[in-house]
Amino acid sequence: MNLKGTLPLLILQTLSEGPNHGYRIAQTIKGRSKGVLDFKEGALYPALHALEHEGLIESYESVENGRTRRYYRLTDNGKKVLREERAQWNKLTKAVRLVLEGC
Amino acid sequence: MLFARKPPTCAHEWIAIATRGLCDDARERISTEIRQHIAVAVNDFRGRGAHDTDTLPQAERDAVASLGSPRRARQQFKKTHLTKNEAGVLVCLTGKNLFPWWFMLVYILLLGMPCLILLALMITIKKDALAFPSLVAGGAAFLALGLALRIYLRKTHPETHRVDVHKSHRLFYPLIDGVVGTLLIVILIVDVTPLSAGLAFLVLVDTIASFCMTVAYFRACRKTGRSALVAEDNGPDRPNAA
Repeated sequence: MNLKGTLPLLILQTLSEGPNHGYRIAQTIKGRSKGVLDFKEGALYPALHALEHEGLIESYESVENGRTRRYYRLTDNGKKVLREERAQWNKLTKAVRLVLEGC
Repeated sequence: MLFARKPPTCAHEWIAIATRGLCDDARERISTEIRQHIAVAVNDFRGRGAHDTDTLPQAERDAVASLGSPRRARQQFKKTHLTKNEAGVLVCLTGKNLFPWWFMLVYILLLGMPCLILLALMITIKKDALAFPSLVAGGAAFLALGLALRIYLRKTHPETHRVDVHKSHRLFYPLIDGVVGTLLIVILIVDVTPLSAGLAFLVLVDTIASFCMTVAYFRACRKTGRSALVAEDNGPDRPNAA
């Protein structure tokens, strides 16, 4: 299913549970949506870099099993934006559901 | 399809396409991250019990395929990372002289173009004061615009002059150049001679180059979050958006 601009929100939500690296973020999104939100993983990194550029997340390098990996974590600003975006999304889906149920 | 592009099958190929045209720092960062991504994906494959040597290259191919189109990724990366051109312009205009000598030579020649025009103007006036009145008008317009802009900048952005007048001059030179160049082309069209046509061609090249440079500079400033107007004491050591 096409994510249609929701990838940044999904990334922020995934990172709200703790720092993670790109591959795990992608797997978490795919796994939680039971494969419905299937996106090309190459799209994840531009989105991560854009969020970092906007100051919503920050990255650092860490060693895991002897390999250096780049981890991402939410900034305070990112947490604030996530709260706002989540509220907006809930409002939107609720409104769409009301319209569809009315049919 | 006859001209359909073959999708990349190895990490190296994917990275090369996705980072083409980006500055060195961006290339390095993206390359490292994608390699890490593929390594974890292959490890996951191993963790699921696949140790067959034939299937591991297949695991890498699958990991690369799951990345999708590298061209689409490149378009997205260009929105946040500096391209080679933007990084070069930023370095040039913020004072770090890291360009190859030939680029600086071309740049100086471009900057010197209005001076060349003024020189041609002076020679022309010396030969025949009435032969090229358009050149006189163009030269006067250039000087007036340059002076007006400098006075305006001194009032509105005193910091640019206090910190480094030369840098702010370099920043707005392409803009002045573009405006004056366009003006000169319009004026010279009226007076078509081999000399005026030649000058008009040079000015056109200069204007296009200045325009491209100015656009690249402002785009680079947006990506790096730096002010396009305020000259800084030191340019970035490693210009990168991330």
